[in-house]
Amino acid sequence: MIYFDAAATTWQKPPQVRRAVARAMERLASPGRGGYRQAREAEQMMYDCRLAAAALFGCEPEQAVFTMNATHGLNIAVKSLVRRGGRVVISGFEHNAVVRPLHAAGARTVAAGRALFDPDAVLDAFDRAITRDTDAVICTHVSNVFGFILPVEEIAGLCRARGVPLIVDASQSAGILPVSLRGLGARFIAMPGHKGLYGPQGTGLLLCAEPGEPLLSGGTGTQSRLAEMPGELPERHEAGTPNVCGIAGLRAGLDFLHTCEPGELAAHERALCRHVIRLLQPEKAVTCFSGPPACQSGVLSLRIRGLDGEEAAELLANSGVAVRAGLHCAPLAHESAGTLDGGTVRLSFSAFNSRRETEIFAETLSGLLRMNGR
Amino acid sequence: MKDCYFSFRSVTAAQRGLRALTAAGIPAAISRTPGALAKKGCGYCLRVSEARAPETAHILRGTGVQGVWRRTGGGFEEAAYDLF
Repeated sequence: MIYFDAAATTWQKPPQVRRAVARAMERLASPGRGGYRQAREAEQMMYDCRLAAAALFGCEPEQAVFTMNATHGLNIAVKSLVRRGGRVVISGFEHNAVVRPLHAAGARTVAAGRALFDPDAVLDAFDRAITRDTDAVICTHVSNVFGFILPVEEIAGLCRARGVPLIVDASQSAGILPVSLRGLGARFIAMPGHKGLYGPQGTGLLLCAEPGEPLLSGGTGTQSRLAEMPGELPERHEAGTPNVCGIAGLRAGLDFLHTCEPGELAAHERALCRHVIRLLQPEKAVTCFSGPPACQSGVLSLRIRGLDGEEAAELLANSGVAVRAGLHCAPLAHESAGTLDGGTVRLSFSAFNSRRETEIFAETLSGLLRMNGR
Repeated sequence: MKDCYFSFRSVTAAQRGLRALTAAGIPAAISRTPGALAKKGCGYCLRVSEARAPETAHILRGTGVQGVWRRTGGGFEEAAYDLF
């Protein structure tokens, strides 16, 4: 199967990730609880993972909090910063992992920056929208639907200048583009472990510049007489038994990233995206949503005239190509781009995809279009 | 030579302390804090030899050490070091 759905999860993992998960199942018990070897090794593994995350993301190890996924992290961030009725500025490309927690929090949400593949227009919109009475700015680094790379560094500068905390959703950029808690001066940065970090599903990281408010309360293995959660990071947000095997796999994924040259994976994925765009140019029934190469990552959405996106995805799946169709849990992004009615078919690439696979995809799609009279 | 116990509120804080001591060439070991010393219930400590305790206190100042104890007879007594 040709797997082009890395934006959902990187199904293909480095072999050391699978080995690390298996090894953890054999050797590790619960960290932060007992004093015996299996617990101590689990603690050391988790700390080593925090060290690897800190080196990659410009933070202290204690600021790298383990979560279940990016959604979990974003919920913590929203709870920490947004009051009921508080004003929040978001981009026009946010995932429901941002939109729904804000709705649940009763926030007054302002969607700025809705011009697809126009970072200048997005920045201008944020500049006009961010006021000193804004509780928080939340911005995705890369749109999960269109691969649009938003100008988060510049938006972070606006936030710092106006004293407004910034939350970054790095779901589609962590492991691919530079992400730094220190560099951005963000208050929180959320990311999944199972996409660009090549870890297992059920893992994530929340980089925290402040302790924040816990979403979950429970046992942390320490300070047990306290009725409230500990005040310090990372334990403040890590109630209950962690996903030890998953974190072991995440650690191996981070180690894999350390073996890659800076920018190598981003260049690889971008090149595949541009190649598909070129290959599909002769197909008049296909519209690719593409922008200048500098503001698009390895994610590509397209529409096929006269063919429903979900049907197209099913035909492709039956032909051995995995893509995702629909609204991608991001109706706001589709609304901004004018694709809410019907959504798009999305291709998203990883380190394990090849140029030849993109050519097979283009041939397959062309064949399907011919068969369906397009 | 007896050990001194530098107690922390969390395993992560103790691990950070261990990393600093290792970098400074001070042998140390993480263990669960003895129950008699865990005032807020459960914790982790770094055990170092008493001879290295003053140096350890200096390195770990401001890193979240909750207290320092040494063993006496059947119990512990608090050791006075400037930790903040």
